[in-house]
Amino acid sequence: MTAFQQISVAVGKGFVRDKASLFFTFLLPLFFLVLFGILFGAMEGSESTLEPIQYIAPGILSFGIAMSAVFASALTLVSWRENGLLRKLQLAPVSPFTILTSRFSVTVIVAVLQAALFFAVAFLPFFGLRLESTWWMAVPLFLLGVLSFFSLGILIGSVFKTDQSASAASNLIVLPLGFLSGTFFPLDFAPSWMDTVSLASPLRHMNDGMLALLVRGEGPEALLVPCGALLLFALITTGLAGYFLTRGDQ
Amino acid sequence: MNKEDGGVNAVAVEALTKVYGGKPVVDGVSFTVREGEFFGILGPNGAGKTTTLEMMEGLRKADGGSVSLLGASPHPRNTSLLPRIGVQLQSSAFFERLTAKEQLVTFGALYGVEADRVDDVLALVGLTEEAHTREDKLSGGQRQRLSIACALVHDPELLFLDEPTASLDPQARRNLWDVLRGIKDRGKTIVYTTHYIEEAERLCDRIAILDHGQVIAMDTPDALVRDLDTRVSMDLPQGVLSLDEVRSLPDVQDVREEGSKICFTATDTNAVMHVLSERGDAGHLQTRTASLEDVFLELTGREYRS
Ligand SMILES: Nc1ncnc2c1ncn2[C@@H]1O[C@H](COP(=O)(O)OP(=O)(O)OP(=O)(O)O)[C@@H](O)[C@H]1O
Ligand SMILES: [Mg+2]
Repeated sequence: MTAFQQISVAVGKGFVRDKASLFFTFLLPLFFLVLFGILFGAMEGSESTLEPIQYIAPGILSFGIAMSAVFASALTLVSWRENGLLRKLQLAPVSPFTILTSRFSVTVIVAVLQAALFFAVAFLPFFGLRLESTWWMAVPLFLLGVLSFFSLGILIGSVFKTDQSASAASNLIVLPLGFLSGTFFPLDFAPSWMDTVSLASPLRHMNDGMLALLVRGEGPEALLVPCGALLLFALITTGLAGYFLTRGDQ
Repeated sequence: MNKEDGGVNAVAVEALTKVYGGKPVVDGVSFTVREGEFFGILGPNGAGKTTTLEMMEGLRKADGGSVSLLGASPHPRNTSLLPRIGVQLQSSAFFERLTAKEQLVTFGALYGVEADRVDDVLALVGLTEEAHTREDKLSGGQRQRLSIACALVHDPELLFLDEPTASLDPQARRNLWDVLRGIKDRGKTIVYTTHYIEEAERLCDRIAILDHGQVIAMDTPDALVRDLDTRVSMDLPQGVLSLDEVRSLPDVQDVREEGSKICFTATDTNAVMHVLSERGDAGHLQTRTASLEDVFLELTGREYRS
Protein backbone atom coordinates (compact mmCIF):
# COMPACT_ATOMS: atom_id res chain seq x y z
CA MET A 1 0.00 0.00 0.00
CA THR A 2 1.12 3.55 -0.58
CA ALA A 3 1.88 5.88 2.33
CA PHE A 4 -1.35 7.76 1.58
CA GLN A 5 -3.49 4.62 1.75
CA GLN A 6 -1.70 3.23 4.78
CA ILE A 7 -2.03 6.41 6.86
CA SER A 8 -5.76 6.49 6.01
CA VAL A 9 -6.10 2.86 7.07
CA ALA A 10 -4.19 3.53 10.29
CA VAL A 11 -6.29 6.58 11.19
CA GLY A 12 -9.48 4.78 10.16
CA LYS A 13 -8.73 1.78 12.37
CA GLY A 14 -7.88 4.11 15.26
CA PHE A 15 -11.25 5.84 14.77
CA VAL A 16 -13.31 2.65 14.57
CA ARG A 17 -11.64 1.29 17.72
CA ASP A 18 -12.53 4.39 19.72
CA LYS A 19 -16.07 3.33 20.64
CA ALA A 20 -16.99 6.51 22.51
CA SER A 21 -16.20 8.91 19.69
CA LEU A 22 -17.78 6.51 17.19
CA PHE A 23 -20.99 6.69 19.20
CA PHE A 24 -21.07 10.48 19.37
CA THR A 25 -20.07 10.95 15.75
CA PHE A 26 -23.03 8.98 14.44
CA LEU A 27 -25.65 9.52 17.11
CA LEU A 28 -25.27 13.26 17.80
CA PRO A 29 -26.85 14.37 14.48
CA LEU A 30 -29.68 11.88 15.00
CA PHE A 31 -30.22 13.15 18.51
CA PHE A 32 -30.60 16.72 17.23
CA LEU A 33 -32.89 15.50 14.46
CA VAL A 34 -35.22 13.89 16.97
CA LEU A 35 -35.08 16.85 19.35
CA PHE A 36 -35.82 19.45 16.71
CA GLY A 37 -38.25 17.19 14.91
CA ILE A 38 -40.39 17.06 18.03
CA LEU A 39 -39.88 20.75 18.81
CA PHE A 40 -40.82 21.98 15.33
CA GLY A 41 -43.54 19.40 14.98
CA ALA A 42 -45.32 21.29 17.75
CA MET A 43 -45.08 24.50 15.67
CA GLU A 44 -46.83 22.97 12.65
CA GLY A 45 -48.84 25.50 10.70
CA SER A 46 -46.44 28.46 11.00
CA GLU A 47 -46.08 30.74 7.98
CA SER A 48 -42.95 29.11 6.57
CA THR A 49 -43.40 27.83 3.04
CA LEU A 50 -41.38 24.74 3.84
CA GLU A 51 -42.33 21.90 6.10
CA PRO A 52 -40.17 22.33 9.26
CA ILE A 53 -38.30 19.06 8.67
CA GLN A 54 -37.32 20.26 5.21
CA TYR A 55 -35.85 23.35 6.68
CA ILE A 56 -34.01 21.96 9.69
CA ALA A 57 -32.66 18.66 8.38
CA PRO A 58 -29.83 20.03 6.18
CA GLY A 59 -28.77 22.45 8.92
CA ILE A 60 -28.64 19.76 11.58
CA LEU A 61 -26.65 17.48 9.34
CA SER A 62 -24.11 20.21 8.53
CA PHE A 63 -23.81 21.03 12.20
CA GLY A 64 -23.27 17.39 13.18
CA ILE A 65 -20.61 17.00 10.52
CA ALA A 66 -18.96 20.26 11.55
CA MET A 67 -18.79 19.14 15.16
CA SER A 68 -17.19 15.80 14.46
CA ALA A 69 -14.87 16.98 11.69
CA VAL A 70 -13.52 19.94 13.68
CA PHE A 71 -13.05 17.89 16.85
CA ALA A 72 -11.47 14.91 15.15
CA SER A 73 -8.95 16.88 13.13
CA ALA A 74 -8.01 19.21 16.02
CA LEU A 75 -7.55 16.33 18.45
CA THR A 76 -5.62 14.22 15.96
CA LEU A 77 -3.10 17.01 15.54
CA VAL A 78 -2.86 17.62 19.29
CA SER A 79 -2.36 13.95 20.13
CA TRP A 80 0.16 13.45 17.33
CA ARG A 81 2.13 16.39 18.65
CA GLU A 82 1.84 15.21 22.26
CA ASN A 83 2.87 11.61 21.67
CA GLY A 84 5.72 12.55 19.34
CA LEU A 85 4.21 11.00 16.23
CA LEU A 86 4.38 14.33 14.43
CA ARG A 87 8.15 14.25 14.78
CA LYS A 88 8.36 10.64 13.62
CA LEU A 89 6.35 11.64 10.55
CA GLN A 90 8.71 14.55 10.00
CA LEU A 91 11.56 12.02 9.91
CA ALA A 92 9.85 9.86 7.28
CA PRO A 93 10.09 10.69 3.58
CA VAL A 94 6.42 11.66 3.26
CA SER A 95 5.19 15.16 2.54
CA PRO A 96 2.90 17.08 4.91
CA PHE A 97 0.48 17.22 1.97
CA THR A 98 0.24 13.42 1.84
CA ILE A 99 -0.33 13.21 5.58
CA LEU A 100 -3.00 15.93 5.58
CA THR A 101 -4.86 14.61 2.55
CA SER A 102 -4.90 11.06 3.83
CA ARG A 103 -6.18 12.27 7.20
CA PHE A 104 -8.75 14.32 5.28
CA SER A 105 -9.89 11.29 3.31
CA VAL A 106 -10.90 9.62 6.59
CA THR A 107 -12.89 12.72 7.57
CA VAL A 108 -14.68 12.61 4.21
CA ILE A 109 -15.57 8.93 4.55
CA VAL A 110 -16.88 9.50 8.07
CA ALA A 111 -18.94 12.51 6.90
CA VAL A 112 -20.46 10.52 4.02
CA LEU A 113 -21.43 7.73 6.41
CA GLN A 114 -22.88 10.27 8.84
CA ALA A 115 -24.97 11.75 6.03
CA ALA A 116 -26.15 8.34 4.80
CA LEU A 117 -27.29 7.31 8.27
CA PHE A 118 -28.87 10.69 8.88
CA PHE A 119 -30.91 10.65 5.67
CA ALA A 120 -31.93 7.04 6.19
CA VAL A 121 -33.49 8.05 9.49
CA ALA A 122 -34.89 11.37 8.24
CA PHE A 123 -36.68 9.59 5.37
CA LEU A 124 -38.67 7.55 7.88
CA PRO A 125 -42.38 8.46 7.77
CA PHE A 126 -42.15 9.94 11.27
CA PHE A 127 -39.82 12.70 10.00
CA GLY A 128 -40.95 12.57 6.39
CA LEU A 129 -37.97 14.33 4.76
CA ARG A 130 -38.17 14.52 0.96
CA LEU A 131 -35.22 15.56 -1.19
CA GLU A 132 -35.41 17.33 -4.55
CA SER A 133 -34.12 15.37 -7.54
CA THR A 134 -31.18 17.79 -7.78
CA TRP A 135 -29.75 16.62 -4.42
CA TRP A 136 -26.66 15.05 -6.03
CA MET A 137 -25.52 18.45 -7.23
CA ALA A 138 -24.86 19.29 -3.59
CA VAL A 139 -21.99 16.78 -3.44
CA PRO A 140 -19.21 19.30 -4.28
CA LEU A 141 -20.68 21.70 -1.73
CA PHE A 142 -20.76 18.93 0.83
CA LEU A 143 -17.08 18.07 0.21
CA LEU A 144 -16.01 21.70 0.40
CA GLY A 145 -17.94 22.05 3.65
CA VAL A 146 -16.13 19.03 5.09
CA LEU A 147 -12.82 20.52 3.89
CA SER A 148 -13.60 23.81 5.66
CA PHE A 149 -14.37 22.06 8.95
CA PHE A 150 -11.29 19.89 8.61
CA SER A 151 -9.01 22.86 8.06
CA LEU A 152 -10.68 24.77 10.90
CA GLY A 153 -9.86 21.78 13.15
CA ILE A 154 -6.26 21.71 11.94
CA LEU A 155 -6.01 25.44 12.66
CA ILE A 156 -7.36 24.92 16.19
CA GLY A 157 -4.95 22.03 16.73
CA SER A 158 -2.02 24.11 15.54
CA VAL A 159 -2.80 26.95 17.96
CA PHE A 160 -3.90 24.98 21.04
CA LYS A 161 -1.38 22.44 22.29
CA THR A 162 -3.35 20.36 24.81
CA ASP A 163 -6.39 18.09 24.62
CA GLN A 164 -8.42 20.25 26.97
CA SER A 165 -7.70 23.60 25.38
CA ALA A 166 -8.25 22.26 21.86
CA SER A 167 -11.60 20.66 22.68
CA ALA A 168 -12.71 23.75 24.62
CA ALA A 169 -11.78 25.90 21.64
CA SER A 170 -13.60 23.58 19.24
CA ASN A 171 -16.75 23.82 21.36
CA LEU A 172 -16.49 27.57 21.73
CA ILE A 173 -16.17 28.01 18.00
CA VAL A 174 -18.54 25.39 16.55
CA LEU A 175 -21.50 25.89 18.92
CA PRO A 176 -21.89 29.64 18.23
CA LEU A 177 -21.41 28.90 14.54
CA GLY A 178 -24.42 26.61 14.78
CA PHE A 179 -26.55 29.40 16.24
CA LEU A 180 -25.21 31.99 13.84
CA SER A 181 -25.76 29.93 10.76
CA GLY A 182 -29.42 29.05 10.90
CA THR A 183 -28.99 25.53 12.21
CA PHE A 184 -31.18 25.94 15.25
CA PHE A 185 -33.44 28.73 14.11
CA PRO A 186 -33.99 30.44 10.75
CA LEU A 187 -31.90 33.57 10.29
CA ASP A 188 -34.97 35.31 8.85
CA PHE A 189 -35.94 36.11 12.42
CA ALA A 190 -32.42 37.10 13.55
CA PRO A 191 -31.12 40.67 13.86
CA SER A 192 -29.41 41.84 10.70
CA TRP A 193 -25.94 42.08 12.33
CA MET A 194 -26.14 38.37 12.98
CA ASP A 195 -26.88 37.74 9.38
CA THR A 196 -23.79 39.76 8.42
CA VAL A 197 -21.50 38.08 10.96
CA SER A 198 -22.68 34.66 9.86
CA LEU A 199 -21.24 35.31 6.39
CA ALA A 200 -17.84 34.47 7.89
CA SER A 201 -19.08 31.06 9.03
CA PRO A 202 -18.60 28.01 6.81
CA LEU A 203 -21.71 26.47 8.33
CA ARG A 204 -23.83 29.34 7.06
CA HIS A 205 -22.70 28.77 3.48
CA MET A 206 -23.04 25.03 3.72
CA ASN A 207 -26.58 25.49 5.06
CA ASP A 208 -27.50 27.98 2.33
CA GLY A 209 -26.30 25.73 -0.44
CA MET A 210 -27.77 22.55 1.00
CA LEU A 211 -31.16 24.18 1.51
CA ALA A 212 -31.18 25.55 -2.01
CA LEU A 213 -30.28 22.24 -3.60
CA LEU A 214 -31.78 19.63 -1.34
CA VAL A 215 -35.16 21.08 -0.55
CA ARG A 216 -35.79 24.25 -2.58
CA GLY A 217 -34.94 22.60 -5.87
CA GLU A 218 -32.82 25.50 -7.11
CA GLY A 219 -30.28 24.99 -9.90
CA PRO A 220 -26.50 24.59 -9.63
CA GLU A 221 -25.99 28.37 -9.95
CA ALA A 222 -27.24 28.59 -6.35
CA LEU A 223 -24.01 26.80 -5.37
CA LEU A 224 -21.55 29.30 -6.77
CA VAL A 225 -21.48 31.70 -3.83
CA PRO A 226 -21.53 29.03 -1.07
CA CYS A 227 -18.83 26.96 -2.77
CA GLY A 228 -16.62 30.00 -3.35
CA ALA A 229 -17.04 31.12 0.26
CA LEU A 230 -16.18 27.64 1.59
CA LEU A 231 -13.13 27.37 -0.61
CA LEU A 232 -11.93 30.76 0.54
CA PHE A 233 -12.50 29.80 4.17
CA ALA A 234 -10.55 26.55 3.72
CA LEU A 235 -7.65 28.36 2.04
CA ILE A 236 -7.42 31.00 4.77
CA THR A 237 -7.59 28.53 7.66
CA THR A 238 -5.08 26.18 6.02
CA GLY A 239 -2.72 29.10 5.42
CA LEU A 240 -3.00 30.23 9.05
CA ALA A 241 -2.51 26.67 10.30
CA GLY A 242 0.60 26.35 8.14
CA TYR A 243 1.91 29.58 9.64
CA PHE A 244 1.32 28.45 13.25
CA LEU A 245 2.71 24.96 12.61
CA THR A 246 5.99 26.15 11.12
CA ARG A 247 6.35 28.96 13.64
CA GLY A 248 6.04 26.44 16.49
CA ASP A 249 8.97 24.44 15.03
CA GLN A 250 11.24 24.79 18.11
CA MET B 1 32.90 12.33 3.31
CA ASN B 2 36.42 12.65 4.58
CA LYS B 3 38.59 9.73 5.43
CA GLU B 4 40.20 9.63 8.83
CA ASP B 5 42.25 6.78 10.18
CA GLY B 6 41.09 4.51 7.42
CA GLY B 7 37.33 4.80 8.01
CA VAL B 8 34.65 6.83 6.30
CA ASN B 9 32.72 9.20 8.53
CA ALA B 10 29.01 8.46 8.79
CA VAL B 11 28.54 11.40 11.14
CA ALA B 12 30.51 14.61 11.51
CA VAL B 13 29.43 17.07 14.17
CA GLU B 14 31.27 20.35 14.37
CA ALA B 15 30.98 22.94 17.16
CA LEU B 16 27.28 22.16 17.61
CA THR B 17 25.47 24.63 19.87
CA LYS B 18 21.94 25.07 21.17
CA VAL B 19 20.83 27.88 23.46
CA TYR B 20 17.59 27.86 25.47
CA GLY B 21 16.62 30.97 27.41
CA GLY B 22 20.09 32.49 27.03
CA LYS B 23 21.71 29.37 28.48
CA PRO B 24 23.73 27.06 26.23
CA VAL B 25 22.49 23.50 26.78
CA VAL B 26 24.71 22.13 24.01
CA ASP B 27 27.93 24.04 23.91
CA GLY B 28 30.38 23.51 21.09
CA VAL B 29 30.08 19.74 20.71
CA SER B 30 32.31 18.17 18.03
CA PHE B 31 32.88 14.54 17.15
CA THR B 32 32.89 12.15 14.26
CA VAL B 33 31.49 8.64 14.01
CA ARG B 34 32.99 6.26 11.49
CA GLU B 35 30.87 4.08 9.28
CA GLY B 36 30.05 0.87 11.12
CA GLU B 37 31.00 2.30 14.48
CA PHE B 38 28.94 1.96 17.66
CA PHE B 39 29.14 5.34 19.37
CA GLY B 40 27.77 6.01 22.84
CA ILE B 41 26.86 9.33 24.43
CA LEU B 42 26.83 9.25 28.22
CA GLY B 43 25.98 12.00 30.62
CA PRO B 44 23.86 12.90 33.63
CA ASN B 45 20.22 14.02 33.32
CA GLY B 46 20.00 17.34 31.53
CA ALA B 47 23.51 17.07 30.08
CA GLY B 48 22.17 17.76 26.58
CA LYS B 49 22.19 14.24 25.10
CA THR B 50 18.68 14.36 23.66
CA THR B 51 19.17 17.89 22.38
CA THR B 52 22.41 16.87 20.64
CA LEU B 53 20.80 13.80 19.12
CA GLU B 54 17.75 15.70 17.88
CA MET B 55 19.90 18.37 16.25
CA MET B 56 21.78 15.57 14.49
CA GLU B 57 18.48 14.06 13.32
CA GLY B 58 17.36 17.41 11.95
CA LEU B 59 14.43 17.69 14.37
CA ARG B 60 15.84 20.76 16.09
CA LYS B 61 17.65 23.59 14.44
CA ALA B 62 21.17 24.18 15.76
CA ASP B 63 22.00 27.69 16.93
CA GLY B 64 25.56 27.16 15.81
CA GLY B 65 27.84 24.59 14.27
CA SER B 66 27.13 21.95 11.66
CA VAL B 67 26.06 18.35 11.28
CA SER B 68 26.78 16.06 8.37
CA LEU B 69 25.10 12.66 8.11
CA LEU B 70 26.35 10.34 5.37
CA GLY B 71 27.73 13.43 3.69
CA ALA B 72 24.50 15.45 3.75
CA SER B 73 23.04 18.06 6.06
CA PRO B 74 19.92 16.92 7.97
CA HIS B 75 18.53 20.46 8.35
CA PRO B 76 16.47 21.70 6.56
CA ARG B 77 14.51 18.49 6.06
CA ASN B 78 16.23 16.38 3.45
CA THR B 79 13.92 13.71 2.03
CA SER B 80 16.69 11.84 0.23
CA LEU B 81 18.61 11.44 3.49
CA LEU B 82 15.61 10.44 5.63
CA PRO B 83 15.25 6.82 4.37
CA ARG B 84 18.92 6.20 5.22
CA ILE B 85 18.53 7.06 8.91
CA GLY B 86 16.40 5.46 11.63
CA VAL B 87 15.41 7.26 14.80
CA GLN B 88 14.05 6.07 18.10
CA LEU B 89 12.90 9.02 20.19
CA GLN B 90 13.26 9.12 23.97
CA SER B 91 9.47 8.78 24.35
CA SER B 92 7.76 6.24 22.13
CA ALA B 93 5.49 7.61 19.41
CA PHE B 94 2.76 5.42 17.91
CA PHE B 95 -0.43 5.62 15.91
CA GLU B 96 -3.26 5.45 18.42
CA ARG B 97 -4.99 2.11 19.05
CA LEU B 98 -3.05 0.14 16.43
CA THR B 99 -1.46 -3.23 17.20
CA ALA B 100 2.31 -3.76 17.23
CA LYS B 101 2.22 -5.28 13.78
CA GLU B 102 -0.03 -2.55 12.37
CA GLN B 103 2.38 0.10 13.66
CA LEU B 104 5.23 -1.51 11.78
CA VAL B 105 3.18 -1.96 8.63
CA THR B 106 2.23 1.72 8.78
CA PHE B 107 5.73 3.00 9.46
CA GLY B 108 7.03 0.66 6.78
CA ALA B 109 4.59 2.10 4.24
CA LEU B 110 5.87 5.61 5.00
CA TYR B 111 9.23 4.36 3.68
CA GLY B 112 7.81 2.22 0.89
CA VAL B 113 8.79 -1.00 2.67
CA GLU B 114 6.99 -4.24 1.81
CA ALA B 115 4.74 -5.51 4.60
CA ASP B 116 6.44 -8.94 4.61
CA ARG B 117 9.55 -7.48 6.27
CA VAL B 118 7.46 -6.62 9.31
CA ASP B 119 7.39 -10.13 10.78
CA ASP B 120 11.20 -10.32 10.70
CA VAL B 121 11.51 -7.02 12.51
CA LEU B 122 8.97 -8.11 15.13
CA ALA B 123 10.94 -11.30 15.67
CA LEU B 124 14.20 -9.34 15.85
CA VAL B 125 12.99 -7.38 18.89
CA GLY B 126 11.17 -10.37 20.39
CA LEU B 127 7.61 -9.14 19.92
CA THR B 128 6.25 -11.94 17.75
CA GLU B 129 3.78 -12.97 20.44
CA GLU B 130 2.59 -9.41 20.88
CA ALA B 131 2.06 -8.84 17.15
CA HIS B 132 -1.69 -8.41 17.61
CA THR B 133 -1.58 -6.53 20.90
CA ARG B 134 -2.65 -2.92 20.76
CA GLU B 135 -0.04 -0.26 21.50
CA ASP B 136 -1.89 0.92 24.62
CA LYS B 137 -1.93 -2.64 26.02
CA LEU B 138 1.83 -3.24 25.76
CA SER B 139 4.08 -3.09 28.82
CA GLY B 140 6.64 -0.29 29.13
CA GLY B 141 9.50 -2.48 27.98
CA GLN B 142 7.47 -3.90 25.09
CA ARG B 143 6.64 -0.37 23.94
CA GLN B 144 10.32 0.45 24.07
CA ARG B 145 11.14 -2.55 21.88
CA LEU B 146 8.35 -1.69 19.46
CA SER B 147 9.70 1.82 19.26
CA ILE B 148 13.11 0.45 18.29
CA ALA B 149 11.48 -1.87 15.76
CA CYS B 150 9.76 1.15 14.19
CA ALA B 151 13.18 2.76 13.77
CA LEU B 152 14.54 -0.39 12.11
CA VAL B 153 11.68 -1.25 9.79
CA HIS B 154 13.19 0.45 6.73
CA ASP B 155 16.66 -1.02 7.36
CA PRO B 156 18.51 2.30 7.77
CA GLU B 157 22.29 2.65 7.48
CA LEU B 158 22.56 4.99 10.41
CA LEU B 159 20.61 4.48 13.61
CA PHE B 160 19.96 6.99 16.41
CA LEU B 161 18.67 5.53 19.66
CA ASP B 162 17.85 7.71 22.66
CA GLU B 163 18.07 5.56 25.79
CA PRO B 164 16.83 2.40 24.07
CA THR B 165 17.44 0.20 27.11
CA ALA B 166 15.71 2.44 29.67
CA SER B 167 12.82 0.63 31.41
CA LEU B 168 13.83 -2.81 30.14
CA ASP B 169 14.23 -5.76 32.49
CA PRO B 170 17.72 -7.32 32.66
CA GLN B 171 16.76 -10.16 30.33
CA ALA B 172 15.25 -7.82 27.75
CA ARG B 173 18.28 -5.52 28.01
CA ARG B 174 20.61 -8.38 27.23
CA ASN B 175 18.41 -9.48 24.35
CA LEU B 176 18.48 -5.96 23.02
CA TRP B 177 22.27 -5.87 23.28
CA ASP B 178 22.31 -8.90 20.99
CA VAL B 179 19.94 -7.12 18.61
CA LEU B 180 22.16 -4.04 18.57
CA ARG B 181 25.33 -6.09 18.08
CA GLY B 182 23.59 -7.91 15.23
CA ILE B 183 22.77 -4.57 13.60
CA LYS B 184 26.36 -3.43 14.01
CA ASP B 185 27.61 -6.71 12.52
CA ARG B 186 25.63 -5.95 9.40
CA GLY B 187 27.75 -2.84 8.97
CA LYS B 188 25.29 -0.27 10.30
CA THR B 189 26.38 2.76 12.27
CA ILE B 190 24.77 3.30 15.66
CA VAL B 191 24.72 6.43 17.80
CA TYR B 192 23.04 5.90 21.13
CA THR B 193 22.63 7.42 24.57
CA THR B 194 22.40 5.56 27.83
CA HIS B 195 22.76 5.92 31.57
CA TYR B 196 23.98 2.34 31.95
CA ILE B 197 27.72 2.64 32.07
CA GLU B 198 28.60 -1.04 32.07
CA GLU B 199 26.33 -1.40 29.05
CA ALA B 200 28.16 1.33 27.14
CA GLU B 201 31.43 -0.33 28.11
CA ARG B 202 30.29 -3.60 26.53
CA LEU B 203 28.60 -2.26 23.42
CA CYS B 204 30.42 0.84 22.31
CA ASP B 205 33.51 1.22 20.18
CA ARG B 206 33.83 4.76 21.47
CA ILE B 207 32.12 6.85 24.11
CA ALA B 208 31.67 10.57 24.53
CA ILE B 209 30.90 11.82 28.02
CA LEU B 210 28.73 14.89 27.91
CA ASP B 211 28.22 17.26 30.82
CA HIS B 212 26.67 20.73 30.88
CA GLY B 213 26.46 20.53 27.10
CA GLN B 214 30.17 19.89 26.59
CA VAL B 215 32.14 16.80 25.67
CA ILE B 216 34.42 16.30 28.65
CA ALA B 217 35.96 13.01 27.53
CA MET B 218 35.85 10.90 24.40
CA ASP B 219 37.69 7.66 23.69
CA THR B 220 37.34 3.90 23.66
CA PRO B 221 36.00 2.51 26.95
CA ASP B 222 39.37 0.90 27.76
CA ALA B 223 41.34 4.07 27.13
CA LEU B 224 38.95 6.13 29.25
CA VAL B 225 39.46 3.81 32.19
CA ARG B 226 43.22 3.58 31.63
CA ASP B 227 43.68 7.34 31.51
CA LEU B 228 41.81 7.93 34.68
CA ASP B 229 44.37 8.77 37.32
CA THR B 230 42.12 7.68 40.11
CA ARG B 231 42.72 6.23 43.48
CA VAL B 232 42.08 2.54 43.95
CA SER B 233 39.29 1.56 46.33
CA MET B 234 40.21 -1.04 48.93
CA ASP B 235 38.60 -2.67 51.90
CA LEU B 236 39.55 -4.86 54.85
CA PRO B 237 37.29 -6.87 57.10
CA GLN B 238 36.72 -5.29 60.55
CA GLY B 239 39.07 -6.54 63.23
CA VAL B 240 42.13 -7.00 61.02
CA LEU B 241 43.35 -3.48 61.65
CA SER B 242 41.89 -0.71 63.75
CA LEU B 243 40.74 2.50 62.08
CA ASP B 244 43.82 4.30 63.35
CA GLU B 245 46.11 1.61 62.04
CA VAL B 246 44.51 1.89 58.62
CA ARG B 247 44.95 5.65 58.70
CA SER B 248 48.67 5.15 59.33
CA LEU B 249 49.12 3.13 56.11
CA PRO B 250 51.02 4.97 53.32
CA ASP B 251 49.00 7.58 51.39
CA VAL B 252 45.59 6.37 52.55
CA GLN B 253 42.46 8.55 52.38
CA ASP B 254 38.68 8.40 52.81
CA VAL B 255 38.92 5.87 55.63
CA ARG B 256 35.44 4.88 56.81
CA GLU B 257 33.52 1.96 58.25
CA GLU B 258 30.92 0.38 56.00
CA GLY B 259 29.12 -2.50 57.71
CA SER B 260 31.56 -5.29 58.35
CA LYS B 261 34.36 -3.61 56.41
CA ILE B 262 36.76 -0.74 56.64
CA CYS B 263 36.94 1.03 53.29
CA PHE B 264 39.61 3.42 52.08
CA THR B 265 41.40 4.57 48.95
CA ALA B 266 45.07 4.72 48.08
CA THR B 267 47.18 5.63 45.06
CA ASP B 268 49.86 3.02 45.52
CA THR B 269 48.43 -0.46 45.92
CA ASN B 270 51.85 -2.01 46.29
CA ALA B 271 52.90 0.12 49.26
CA VAL B 272 49.76 -0.85 51.15
CA MET B 273 50.20 -4.52 50.25
CA HIS B 274 53.77 -4.39 51.47
CA VAL B 275 52.84 -3.11 54.90
CA LEU B 276 50.01 -5.59 55.23
CA SER B 277 52.05 -8.60 54.15
CA GLU B 278 54.68 -7.75 56.74
CA ARG B 279 51.94 -8.17 59.31
CA GLY B 280 50.64 -11.29 57.61
CA ASP B 281 47.28 -9.66 56.81
CA ALA B 282 47.59 -9.21 53.05
CA GLY B 283 45.16 -12.02 52.31
CA HIS B 284 42.29 -9.96 53.73
CA LEU B 285 42.72 -6.99 51.41
CA GLN B 286 40.17 -6.49 48.64
CA THR B 287 40.90 -4.04 45.85
CA ARG B 288 38.57 -2.81 43.19
CA THR B 289 40.08 -1.40 39.99
CA ALA B 290 38.64 1.66 38.30
CA SER B 291 35.57 1.10 36.14
CA LEU B 292 33.96 3.32 33.59
CA GLU B 293 31.54 4.28 36.33
CA ASP B 294 34.45 5.74 38.29
CA VAL B 295 35.50 7.68 35.22
CA PHE B 296 32.00 8.95 34.79
CA LEU B 297 31.53 9.98 38.40
CA GLU B 298 34.99 11.47 38.62
CA LEU B 299 34.40 13.60 35.53
CA THR B 300 30.84 14.68 36.07
CA GLY B 301 30.95 15.04 39.84
CA ARG B 302 28.89 13.02 42.23
CA GLU B 303 26.13 15.49 42.96
CA TYR B 304 22.78 15.13 41.27
CA ARG B 305 21.73 17.73 38.76
CA SER B 306 18.56 19.58 39.61
N1 LIG C 1 12.61 22.77 24.22
C1 LIG C 1 13.35 23.17 25.27
N2 LIG C 1 13.18 24.40 25.81
C2 LIG C 1 13.93 24.81 26.84
N3 LIG C 1 14.86 24.07 27.44
C3 LIG C 1 15.09 22.84 26.97
C4 LIG C 1 14.34 22.32 25.86
N4 LIG C 1 14.78 21.08 25.60
C5 LIG C 1 15.74 20.82 26.51
N5 LIG C 1 15.94 21.87 27.33
C6 LIG C 1 16.92 21.93 28.41
O1 LIG C 1 18.17 21.54 27.90
C7 LIG C 1 18.88 20.75 28.83
C8 LIG C 1 19.32 19.46 28.19
O2 LIG C 1 18.18 18.64 27.94
P1 LIG C 1 18.29 17.22 27.25
O3 LIG C 1 16.91 16.71 27.11
O4 LIG C 1 19.10 17.33 26.02
O5 LIG C 1 19.08 16.40 28.35
P2 LIG C 1 19.46 14.86 28.36
O6 LIG C 1 20.94 14.79 28.46
O7 LIG C 1 18.82 14.15 27.23
O8 LIG C 1 18.84 14.39 29.74
P3 LIG C 1 18.12 12.98 30.16
O9 LIG C 1 19.23 12.05 30.53
O10 LIG C 1 17.34 13.35 31.36
O11 LIG C 1 17.30 12.52 29.02
C9 LIG C 1 17.97 20.58 30.05
O12 LIG C 1 18.40 21.46 31.04
C10 LIG C 1 16.61 20.96 29.52
O13 LIG C 1 15.87 21.58 30.54
MG1 LIG D 1 17.36 12.71 27.06
